[in-house]
Amino acid sequence: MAAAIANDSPKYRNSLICCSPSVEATSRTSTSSTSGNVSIDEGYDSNCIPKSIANKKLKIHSSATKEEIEKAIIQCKELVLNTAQCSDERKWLVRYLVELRLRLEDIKDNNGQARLRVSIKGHHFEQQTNPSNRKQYCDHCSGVIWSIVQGSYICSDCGYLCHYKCVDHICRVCAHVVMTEKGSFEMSICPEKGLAAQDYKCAECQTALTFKDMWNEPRLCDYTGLYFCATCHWNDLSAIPARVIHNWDWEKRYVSRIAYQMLNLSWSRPYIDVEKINPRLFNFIAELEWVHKMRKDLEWMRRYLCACAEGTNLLSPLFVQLGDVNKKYSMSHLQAINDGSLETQLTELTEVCRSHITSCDLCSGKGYLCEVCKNNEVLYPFDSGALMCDKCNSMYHRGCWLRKGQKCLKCLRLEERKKTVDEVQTEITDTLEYDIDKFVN
Amino acid sequence: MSSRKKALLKVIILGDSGVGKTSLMNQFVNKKFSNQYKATIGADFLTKEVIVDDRIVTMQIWDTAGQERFQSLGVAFYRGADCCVLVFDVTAPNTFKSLESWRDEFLIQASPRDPDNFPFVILGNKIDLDNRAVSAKRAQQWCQSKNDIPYFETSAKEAVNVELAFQTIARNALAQETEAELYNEFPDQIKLNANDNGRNRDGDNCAC
Repeated sequence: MAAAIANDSPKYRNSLICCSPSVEATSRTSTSSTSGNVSIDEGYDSNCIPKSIANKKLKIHSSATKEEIEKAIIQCKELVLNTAQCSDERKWLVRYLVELRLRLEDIKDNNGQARLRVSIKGHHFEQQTNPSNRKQYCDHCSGVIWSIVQGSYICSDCGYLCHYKCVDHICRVCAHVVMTEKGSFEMSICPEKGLAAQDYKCAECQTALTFKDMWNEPRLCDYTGLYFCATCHWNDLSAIPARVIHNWDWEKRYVSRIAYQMLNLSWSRPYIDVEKINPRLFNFIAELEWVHKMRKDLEWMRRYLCACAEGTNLLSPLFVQLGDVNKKYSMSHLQAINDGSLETQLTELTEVCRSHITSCDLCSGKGYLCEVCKNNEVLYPFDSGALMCDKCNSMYHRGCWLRKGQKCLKCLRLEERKKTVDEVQTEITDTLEYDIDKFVN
Repeated sequence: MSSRKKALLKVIILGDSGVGKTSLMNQFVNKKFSNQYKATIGADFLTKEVIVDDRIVTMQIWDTAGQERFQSLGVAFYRGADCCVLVFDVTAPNTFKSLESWRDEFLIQASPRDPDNFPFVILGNKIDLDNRAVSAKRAQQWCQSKNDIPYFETSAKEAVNVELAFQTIARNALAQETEAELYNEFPDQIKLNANDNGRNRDGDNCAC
């Protein structure tokens, strides 16, 4: 049976190694013995224990008693007071303090029983009450979770799964926390520094990595550019945002578990500012440029629809995402652009909205007439044949605008009027003064 | 399953330092008040069982350090909150002004499913003092402009309105929970403003 587990384990997916009964045990012991070490990885600094306080022996073991935790809380509070505000140490200590307090509460609540909720390393674990029929693997030890005999936890934020027994040993910070605090994807292509920079240790669990040990080969994560052990890197495949933005390369590459979770969680979050990161991409990908232009029209349409009771029903999630003033894209948008589905969706969407706005009394009432030709054709800012003045928001047919020397007639008129008004105003004030003088006299 | 899940409400109290967050919590949970000021370190919580609409609910009330601001506590701390209580001191206008930034930051950090309808409660504390500087009307107006947030004038010292305020907090948090369950089948969805526009058409999120 043990052989079957090892054979089955997702960590040997696409790996040369196919089965060994002993692997599971060795990799697990090495993992837990090193947890709580200082990390050398800069990327996750704020979530790992800072070096300056790493020697304070803050970490307590998983079966700590109430008194031990209470002591740790007091120690942690003292340390908080000794650190500067907003420093990494302070941050880490405060978060750790919160974790300790929750743990203390857990111990008080149910003496020794399995806990309903566990908060650790930013995760919010809940007991998995009805696991799916699919076979699940523990994200910590990568062993199978036998749902009938083994209890398991799932993180409600990032989906991290683990055995009851593994929950206190986990090394991975919640991917949701990491991504939300960062608010963007890694935008350099596989920023690899090499194993030496990692001290020949796994970037996550600190297991020693050597090329000699076939069972625990170092695996490169194409997203983070870091090396991981087989327990923390299951050869999951994913497209890499940096490669997409720079090279429009959608080929899937091997990524670590943490990167896989981060990418999956943030796949539809609008994190990518193409205009800023790589504006030249628009020149190469015609579809992207088309969508980008379309977004301006969508933004205008959104303004019409927001103010119309009937129109608000047309505001689909996609519409709101793309019609937003911030011009960021999510990976799922880019993917849809790549496979062409977004183009068709957008065309349909704009057609529906355009027909509503032009037919609705309320919306079409907010249309414009051309400042030049004054024929009764109603113009809208999202018409391709129309132009809008940036200053006074008056609208022109493109043809009329060109014919009139590309100047805004309304702006000219306003300026002229302002001049005459100013003149009249000075006259009026003069007469007023005169009147008052007369009155006083 | 749902009844067990609902049993615990996570409430977070925020506000500038010295407005009386700890005192309010202490008054509500322990019925005690101390004139001595002692800054809170990091964050601490007390639990109290309350009865809301014939149901027993455990409130886990998190008191935070006013000077800690947001970045120390981080996303994980705010995540999963059921209600957020913003406290200001009616004798210090600055603490009232910073409510806005506390609210915004909370929404960013906690990223609730439905930010526009997330339950907040505003407490104007220290009404027992004579040198009042923020009028009830001004505070009320601000609360109305923010999607009708409930507003209470409290005194942790004299135990004025404290019980009532926390009852409202528990009730609103519970309402939020029930609503959240409707969404449970889509665990990973990202909340967009679209659906809100349909629900409340006061148009304050319209850009025109």
